[in-house]
Amino acid sequence: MGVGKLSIAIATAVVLVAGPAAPGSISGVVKVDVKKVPPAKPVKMESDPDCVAKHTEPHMSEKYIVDADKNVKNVFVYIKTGLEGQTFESPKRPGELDQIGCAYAPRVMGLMVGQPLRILNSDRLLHNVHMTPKINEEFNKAMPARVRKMPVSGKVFSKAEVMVPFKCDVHPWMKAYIGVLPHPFFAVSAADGSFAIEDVPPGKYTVEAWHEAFTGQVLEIEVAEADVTVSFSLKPPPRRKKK
Amino acid sequence: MRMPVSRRIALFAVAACVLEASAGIEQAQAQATAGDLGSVGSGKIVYDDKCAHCHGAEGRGDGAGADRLSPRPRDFTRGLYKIRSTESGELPTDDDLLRIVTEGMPGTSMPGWPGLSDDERRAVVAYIKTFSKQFERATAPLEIAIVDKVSPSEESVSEGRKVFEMLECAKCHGQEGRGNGPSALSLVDEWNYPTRPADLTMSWRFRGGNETEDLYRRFIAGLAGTPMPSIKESFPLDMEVEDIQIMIEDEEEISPEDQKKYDDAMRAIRVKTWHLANYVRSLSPAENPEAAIVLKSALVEGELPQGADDPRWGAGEGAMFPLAGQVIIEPRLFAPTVTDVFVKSMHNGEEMALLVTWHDPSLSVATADDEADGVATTTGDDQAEQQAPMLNDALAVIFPTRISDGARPYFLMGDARLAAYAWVWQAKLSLSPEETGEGHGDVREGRAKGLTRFQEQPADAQDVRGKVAYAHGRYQLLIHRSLGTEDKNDLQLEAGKFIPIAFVAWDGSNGEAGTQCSVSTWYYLHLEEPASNRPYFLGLAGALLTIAVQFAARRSFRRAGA
Repeated sequence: MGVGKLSIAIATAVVLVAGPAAPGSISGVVKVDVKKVPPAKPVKMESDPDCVAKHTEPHMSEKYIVDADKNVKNVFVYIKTGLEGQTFESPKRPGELDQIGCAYAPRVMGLMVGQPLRILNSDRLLHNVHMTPKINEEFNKAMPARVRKMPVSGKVFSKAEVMVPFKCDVHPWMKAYIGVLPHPFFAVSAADGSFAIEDVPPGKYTVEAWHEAFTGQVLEIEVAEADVTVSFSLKPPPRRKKK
Repeated sequence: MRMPVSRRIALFAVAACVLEASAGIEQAQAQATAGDLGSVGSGKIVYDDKCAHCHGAEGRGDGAGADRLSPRPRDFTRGLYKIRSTESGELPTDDDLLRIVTEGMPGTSMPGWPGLSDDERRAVVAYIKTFSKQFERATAPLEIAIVDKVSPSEESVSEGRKVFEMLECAKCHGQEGRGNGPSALSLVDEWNYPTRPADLTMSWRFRGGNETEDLYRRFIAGLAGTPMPSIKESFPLDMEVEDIQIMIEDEEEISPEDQKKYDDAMRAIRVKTWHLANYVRSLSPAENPEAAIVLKSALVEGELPQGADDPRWGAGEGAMFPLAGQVIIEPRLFAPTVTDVFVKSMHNGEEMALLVTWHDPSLSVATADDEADGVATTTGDDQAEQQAPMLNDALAVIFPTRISDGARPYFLMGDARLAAYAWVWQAKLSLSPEETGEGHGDVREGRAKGLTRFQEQPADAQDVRGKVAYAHGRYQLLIHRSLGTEDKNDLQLEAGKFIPIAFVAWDGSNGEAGTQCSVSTWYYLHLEEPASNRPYFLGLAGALLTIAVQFAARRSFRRAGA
């Protein structure tokens, strides 16, 4: 996604506490700028009856999850620039990506460069975990019913990339996105649109809110002596032209 | 003239590309004279001349011919190569690329270039690598070791079937491997173009070769840029081995015993992978079939087979007749589903039975709604999209209207000048995979003056009987007709004659209808002649004549001597 497409605005940094230059947090809410909240759509899983059998109610699409107050879930919020020249150690603890009810869980997550990933198969049916990055190397492994977990070496995530898409070719509706960053300052918005990035060193940053369906936003902020609150307002995607 | 099918198709596609290319060659030559030096530079000269028309000047797989090819030409900018001797996630070796440039890729439009010198081919490989940043990596790609190989045997094949089931290969490739699994039609490649899982029963079309070593490498490496994953890590491990694996991942020290346990587990996985390679290879004939020219209809006594399962048909699918997308008349079809039909025939002197087999990953039949309008359906979790209406699968068998004058109609089901005699079958709503009964065949005989101009004969003049079965990605259409009929509009089938025959197929789910179909050229049907008395009489007459001549000669000699 080109930065040029993103609207850039200056966020109001609200000074809450005065004190010495200590790490602060960046928190806030992500909303989408629409008149009417788009209705959720059920996912058609008929091509694999095993997937249908895993749901008593239809599984709703997670492409966008917006509540009545237009708060957006699954937005990846991260520091885009401002940390250059600093290095951060990657955790050895693997991130976890599960496959439950023929959907990836979580849909959106972050990893640090070089951090391993553990892929779980709670479904106990065949999925193929197919990562289709633009910068990192492609990764595509079959995960049949009998394989419950698969370790993915941190070497697979050797370069920063926002976002690395995941898909399952067997179940084309299955999608996940992992943001790979050289630092730990990222968060994914909750169902109420809230997010919090903790322990951010003082400094001036650009922070981006990325969403798979909506047009993201980049804001400039400064963390100085206090916690920062920002609110993002995403735009609906440009309407696709009908053929 | 016998030429492997893949080569014919490749030639066909190259011809299409070369047509596009003629303008480009002059340009390439102009650039070549001003071109830079070194192997990459000389590679560029070769590339611009031979490759750019399909693969694009910038290597993006977007050359002038690209839209007409299926699969599309490779986009070199991502460094993703399907056929490699290297592990999952690795780049190909130079030799991998050289092999494709030299030998081409079966089942695709990519021809081999054995006519280029070794230096030219190496130079073009060096140049192709400059299209992707991925090749700037310093480390050499890790090659797959060909170890622990298991020779093919009945036992290995049956072990391989178990692995096929454990890995659930059927989800895409289908229970019998014809590329017809439930996910088959929804697959897309890295560039979001539709892609189909391989028909494992046609191993001669495998892109990377059909030796078991080739299959082993594909399983270990996966096919980069496609939905086909690597299976190397897809085998369940014991808890203990899993723990050792995590320790290795974390670069912890492990004991020699643990190392041995881990190595044994990895060896067991390699052995299973070889079993799978042996099983998959066993789904295709041991020898790659060659296209037939003549379909022989054997003479049998008594009643003809009434079903495809009659043991008298024998093993195998029958004589193979290749089909290609119809690209002469608009609208054209560049990526057909049906690339071969397999045919068997028998007759009993009065009636002929023709069994036509072809592979199609789905049975498609238009519903009443489809016929009325397009249907709005949701694909995946994307927004609702207006989908094209479903079309009927269909197949036509084409003949001239008579064989006495030797004239053959235009191979696209005749034309206004000379009509063809045709048997046309079309899938009907009443047909379901379970329903194979008679009456669902719906084969109609009639005359055609082109692909969209078929005129069926009135119901009381219909002399063909059809019966169709569809299961596991395979159609089997059995057609019966009397050799001779009372109808002057019918072709009269005669034993001992070479009767021109051609085939046309439509896959409804691939949007095929009318002129968008796959077609064959003319081949011959030959009905075995009954062993008549005539040769016997001729032999006897000959013998008598010889004796008579000898007798006369002897008499004349005697006379002369007397």
